[in-house]
Amino acid sequence: MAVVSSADAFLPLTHLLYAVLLSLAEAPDHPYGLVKRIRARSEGRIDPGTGSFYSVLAQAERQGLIRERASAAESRRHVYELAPLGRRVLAAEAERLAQQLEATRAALIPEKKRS
Amino acid sequence: MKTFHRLFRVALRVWPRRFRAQHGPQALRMASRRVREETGPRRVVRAAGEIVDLVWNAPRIRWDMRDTVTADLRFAWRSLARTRGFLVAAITTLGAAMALCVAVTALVNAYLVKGLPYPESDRLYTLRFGQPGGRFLQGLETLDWRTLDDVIEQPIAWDLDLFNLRGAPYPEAAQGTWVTSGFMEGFGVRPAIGRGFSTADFATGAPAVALISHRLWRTRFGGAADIVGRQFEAHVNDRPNEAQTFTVVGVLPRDLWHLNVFTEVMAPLRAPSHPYMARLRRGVTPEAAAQRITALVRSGTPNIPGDWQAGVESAHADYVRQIRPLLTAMAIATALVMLIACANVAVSFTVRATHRQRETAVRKALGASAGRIVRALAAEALVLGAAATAIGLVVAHLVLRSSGPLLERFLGRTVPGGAAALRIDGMTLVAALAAGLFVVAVCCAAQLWTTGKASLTLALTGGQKGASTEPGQRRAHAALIAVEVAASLTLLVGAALTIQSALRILHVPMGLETRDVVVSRLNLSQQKYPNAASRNAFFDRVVAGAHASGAQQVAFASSWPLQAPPPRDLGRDGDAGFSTRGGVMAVSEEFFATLRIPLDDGRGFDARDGVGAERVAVVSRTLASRLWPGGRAIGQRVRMAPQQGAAANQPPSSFVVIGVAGDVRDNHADIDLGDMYVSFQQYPSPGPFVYVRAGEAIGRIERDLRNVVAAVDADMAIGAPRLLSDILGQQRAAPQFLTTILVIFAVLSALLALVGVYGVIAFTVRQREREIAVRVAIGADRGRIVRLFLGHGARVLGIGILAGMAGAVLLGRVLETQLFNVSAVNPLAIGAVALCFGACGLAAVAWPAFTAAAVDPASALKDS
Repeated sequence: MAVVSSADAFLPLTHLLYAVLLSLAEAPDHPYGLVKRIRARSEGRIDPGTGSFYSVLAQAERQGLIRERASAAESRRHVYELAPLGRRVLAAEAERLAQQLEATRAALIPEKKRS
Repeated sequence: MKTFHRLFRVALRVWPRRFRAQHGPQALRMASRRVREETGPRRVVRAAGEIVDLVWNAPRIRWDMRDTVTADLRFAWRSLARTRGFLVAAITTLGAAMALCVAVTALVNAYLVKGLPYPESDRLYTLRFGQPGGRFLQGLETLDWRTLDDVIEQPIAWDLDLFNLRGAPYPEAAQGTWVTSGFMEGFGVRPAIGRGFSTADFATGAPAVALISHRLWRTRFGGAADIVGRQFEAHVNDRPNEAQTFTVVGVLPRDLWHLNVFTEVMAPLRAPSHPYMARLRRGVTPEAAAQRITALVRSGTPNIPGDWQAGVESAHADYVRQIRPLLTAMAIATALVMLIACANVAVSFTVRATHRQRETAVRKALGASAGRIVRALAAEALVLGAAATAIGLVVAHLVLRSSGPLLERFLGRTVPGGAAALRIDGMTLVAALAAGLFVVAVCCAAQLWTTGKASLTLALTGGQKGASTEPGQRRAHAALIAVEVAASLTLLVGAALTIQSALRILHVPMGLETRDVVVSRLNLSQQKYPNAASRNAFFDRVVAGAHASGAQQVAFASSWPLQAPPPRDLGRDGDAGFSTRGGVMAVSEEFFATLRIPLDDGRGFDARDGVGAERVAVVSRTLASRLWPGGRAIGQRVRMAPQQGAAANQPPSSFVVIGVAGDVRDNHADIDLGDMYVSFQQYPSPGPFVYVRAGEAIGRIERDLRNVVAAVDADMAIGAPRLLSDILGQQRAAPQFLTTILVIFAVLSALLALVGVYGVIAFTVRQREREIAVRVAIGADRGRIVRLFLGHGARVLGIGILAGMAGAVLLGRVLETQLFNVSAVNPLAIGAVALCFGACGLAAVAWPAFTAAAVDPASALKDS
């Protein structure tokens, strides 16, 4: 199992993985619940198929970003939560995006307005 | 929707089994809901999209879910680490066996596999011209060897000599060689500095030139850059008439390795010679070369026997001939140790695997495929094999690096290419990996044999705890133990034979006492000591000085200590020819007293046997009885043929026998004890050996001897004094080394085998505890139970011992040449060892058998 512990090594995240991590950061959920929340947050722009979604889940679980909730093991539905590494990766991605945003703003907004 | 469900379920098959089992149903529910969110034709499109999306992304899931080798190995390590005792025992056993295996492979590789360290060394051959009876052919140097140019590319010959270098910085005796013109090219030696010898250098009367060793260049000439053209003065033992001035034409390479150590100085051999080594031309077989050489020698030697043939043998084979059986024996012993170690670990593996049947059964029940379980078990074997190989390589590397010269000494032959060639190279590495794979294969097979058969219901219901061992497993144990016993017995018998041989060697009477005797060599210059009188005067002064410094006896002799003196034809005066051959050496007055050689009859040499007096001789007991059987030798005359190469008309020398001395052996295997001693005063050698019985002065004798010699002649070079007992010890080093190795191997492997026997029987007893308890409960006789297990153990031991006896006979054949006065197939030794080992084996079996009989049925049945 290739678990990379440095958060930066995971960046940048795909839209879907970012959305999964972000949703799980808000609350643990089962796959279909996650898909619904992701779709709602992106206003339908991100709407993964079942296969795509499970492949992202498998990847994230393998990399140690998310994990199955222990208490949910007995239930028919698998409920996932964010692993500590996933939290760090999400924070690092957010930081990266913030810098991108800052840079984009700096490039687009004219000099005068800023002063 | 039903169709969609059906199709989606089919499509789910592209997911890995484990992932499908875990997430399939939930994925199906999710896909259904997503499809139901749409209506009309869009629903159909979404349904199709879901299935395509599922199939499209399956490879990514498969990739993420793959069972990586590292994961397998990590799991295997964790699993092994849980049984720490087993892990430590297995790695230690296999690591030690592997280290042995690698070290011996490196030895075999360096000596036997790699050729001599010369370019195309497979074309180098040793030529033999010997006749039956050890006589050498005369006049070989007068033959026209150039007629063999079409088969021999370079005829090679050399003549060893001691070059006594004079002048600054100090007088030094350097071991050197006179070489023929084919020597340098034949061996492919290229000087590191300067040039090799040219044809002109071999012409009679040409200025004397020399190549010097790298060491001599550094120490004597300070590594001077302008070494070519510099000169040095030396007188040599073979040409002691006067000192010669040599011009250095080059420096030999630093890593030059030669068959002998005489490489400090090389000079052109100008005297006529015949080759005793040759570089054959490409494509010429040794048989063809032998035919041509035989024909040439026959043409020039009329009286040669009809069946005489020149011998042409690979120079490498000739060099390693003596140690080949020794190394072969070591390799076989190592292979046996490896086999025992593997069998031992395999037994432990099967025992451990039995305990893990429950775990395996659970994994099977949870859906682990057979391949998956095999992989997990193979990973454990792989981890163990890899760890053992790594440990073996590291330990062997350290051993070879630190004890290369020691191993060379024990084997009595320097490694071709020097001690540095004794290392782990590609071939050794390949052998180590092959041995590692063997370990993995054996451990893997042992694992699969037991664990692979794990029965689910039996294991899960706990039935195996009380059940008897499976017959297949019992057979596996029996086979492994039999292998261990057989291999151990083979080694034990081999060790017994070599011990017997070593003891016989130690008890061979050498005929002299080596304790407290120191030997050194002197070199008298011809200029300073031109005649017998001047040399005798020098020797007398050295003797007097040594006595004054506390030495008990001091003697001079013309021959190397504990080596056969040069043989000469001998006969009775008055007989037509020479009836026998014996070693002849000149010895001084106190020689017999110094070495404690008894005089049976007559007297030893004394002041009466000086230069002008009648030539006298002391003969050995054997020579006396050979020349004058039944009669008294004293007062008789003995004749000695002239030396080889002497003028044809020189008459034989005649000696009056004045004494009969006890027989002396040069080495333990010396059977020709007919020796003759002549008076050293009458034959004062310019390069004699000095023997000093030091007595209490042994601690300071080296210093004293140097001081005494320096007081008589400050310029005299003296060789480093050595204890005669050390020289004898070195002669016996090889057989003792083999004995030590075999004894260590044998004892360790016997212990391993006994532990194995004990372990398996103890394990079987534990497995059958319930059965025994039932038997006892229904009234079985306890003696019967002991007999049951003893019988089982005895059968396995018996099979192993029988196989071991056969192995011992085979090993005996390999050891044959290394044994002294011991028969290679020794029924007594084999029987005794088999009996002892069998008794120990039965004791190892009896212990758990009695434990079994002592089982308390109530507690055993309650426990299970």
